Amino acid sequence: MTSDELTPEEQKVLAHVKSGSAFQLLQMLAEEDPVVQEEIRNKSFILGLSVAGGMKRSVRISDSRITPLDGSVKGAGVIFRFPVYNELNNLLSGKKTKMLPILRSLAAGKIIAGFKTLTSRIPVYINAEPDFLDKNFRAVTRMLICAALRGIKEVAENDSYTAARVAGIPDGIIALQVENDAGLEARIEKSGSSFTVTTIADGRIPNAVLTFKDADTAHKLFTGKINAVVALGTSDVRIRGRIPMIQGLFPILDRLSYYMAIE
Amino acid sequence: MAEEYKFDNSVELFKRAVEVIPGGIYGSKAPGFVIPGSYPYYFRKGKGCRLQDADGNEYIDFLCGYGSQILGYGHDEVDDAAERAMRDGDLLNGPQASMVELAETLTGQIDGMDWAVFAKNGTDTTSLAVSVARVHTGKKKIIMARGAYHGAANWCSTNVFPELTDREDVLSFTYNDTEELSRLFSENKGEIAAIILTPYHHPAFDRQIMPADGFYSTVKILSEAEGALFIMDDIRCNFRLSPSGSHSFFGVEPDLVAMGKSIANGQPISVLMGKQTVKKTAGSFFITGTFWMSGMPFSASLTTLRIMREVNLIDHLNRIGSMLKDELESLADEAGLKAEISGAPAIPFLTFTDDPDLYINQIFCSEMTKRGIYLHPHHNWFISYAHKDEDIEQTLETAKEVFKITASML
Repeated sequence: MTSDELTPEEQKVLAHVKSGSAFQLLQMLAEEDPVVQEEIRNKSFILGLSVAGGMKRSVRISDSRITPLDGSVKGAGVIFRFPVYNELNNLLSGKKTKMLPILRSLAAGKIIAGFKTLTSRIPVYINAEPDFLDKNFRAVTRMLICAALRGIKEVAENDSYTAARVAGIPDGIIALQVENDAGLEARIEKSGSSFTVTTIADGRIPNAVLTFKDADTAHKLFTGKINAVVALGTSDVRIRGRIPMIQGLFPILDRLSYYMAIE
Repeated sequence: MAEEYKFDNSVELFKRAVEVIPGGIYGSKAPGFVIPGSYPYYFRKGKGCRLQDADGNEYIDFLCGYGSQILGYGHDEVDDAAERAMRDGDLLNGPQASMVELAETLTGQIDGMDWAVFAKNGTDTTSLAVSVARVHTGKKKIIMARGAYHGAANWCSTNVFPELTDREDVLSFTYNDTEELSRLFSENKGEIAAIILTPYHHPAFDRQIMPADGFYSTVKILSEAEGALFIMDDIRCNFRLSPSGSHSFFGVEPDLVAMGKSIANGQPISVLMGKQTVKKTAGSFFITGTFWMSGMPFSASLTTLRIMREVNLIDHLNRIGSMLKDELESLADEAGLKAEISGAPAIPFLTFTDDPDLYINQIFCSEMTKRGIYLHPHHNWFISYAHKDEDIEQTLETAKEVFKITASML
């Protein structure tokens, strides 16, 4: 299925999922990838995305970090402005798109070129070749976990199909951990109708914990190589704490899979 | 220290199941409702309060087939009665005399109830009750307590999808919050068909809550003023509080009572009972199911009800349940843990103070189960007539060790 076949609301959700995940991954690339680290060193700019009458979000590059900013394109040197969500989807799928680049900086050309370099690193990790995967397995796995959580956040906040189920998820923090690997943890926090993804443990005790037996299990799960239900049954994936919070994520994950399969 | 159980056969069966059954095991029996790795998923057999899983591990069981086994697994007299009905053909072209006899027995035994309609599962009867209430009152809205379980039908379950509109007329309130309940009645005046309640609040993943003083009198005042029916969902507590119905235990007078689970000691049957005033409406419904007239459950139920009367069941359940509660709380205290058993003695559930997310509870129940005492970490437990003093003593002996293990893991 292509994004052209979706309803306007689904196109909107897809745009949120794709752009949110991409920005999340850029943030992590700044922590993991030497090419990105070199590209952003000593650079400072903001690039924004906006859809007419809808989403505004940007990504700030400064101090050798990449920070996604939701709800604002303030200070952006370049804003890619789309007439409808599906044109943003086209851009994020590498298709021909209609958009208006708003150039607010004299360095706009460099910003766009830099942004292209940064985004070109995403598939290197997400669709990693075997050799690259071997050498960067932990980083790839961490990025997959965080991108999935970001996708869950975007679906949960924007998709009316899951809205009623999202409303039933108790507020609190869910941690995704890998056993015996304290550094490989990401969290999603629900507060009312808002979700926040954090890529590191912040010291607070989570209300529910989902633990992967090892990084390989996490990688296989998020690349669709093992079935989540089987992994739970075999206890390769374990859950504890306020279980309904984790159970509440499953229908959102199902819905995320629907969007991720769209070309 | 006892050797911990392994669950290899359960896991292998589950892997096969996932290939051909959506989710492998569905609903409340799914692995995700317990703690995968610490619990069996499949079972072979049970006798009394003892249960054997698919790996041959044996347990003293405190789930009792989710409450249905009130006299114990494989009760000889009950099973003999069911077997006789089975050998007589079981499912004939119409009901057998046992159906009438059971309706007569129940209307004689359950306080305030004048008629009985039989089905198979709790969901059948709670859903029928809601439909009857809507038709009887000519109104649509139903009030239930937030977190209460009234079955797997879409009007009350977690099956929440935009396509399913069954929940649109279902309102919920926090149990015991009479202000919120009053507000619901006030804001929906003239639209409420019924309020449905369990005898006391026993949500999954939480401690159990008894009705506060004045709660039921408020329910009565509000529902009568609205002309709404009061439905008692007695499926889970059934016969563990009172032989006359759990509403009798709390001194309340519902219009409809749904019963099931323990009524035939594990044979599949449920019943919706009601007052004379609602009988005509219930009679106007087309109610049936291919297997609803099967003779085995009726025969099993008649025998179960008789035995429950003969053995003075409630006294036994209360004594055994109280022994378990008092000693578990005391043993937890000795290990430096603060545990509380909530609910009725025959339907206990253990939680720990300052453990709202149930982390400690999950450790304790898992470690108990891996040592042969089946305790559910997220669902209330059940006591049966088959639990004897020596079973509780063995349970407490294991608990003494496991409380210490639990404390050491925190």
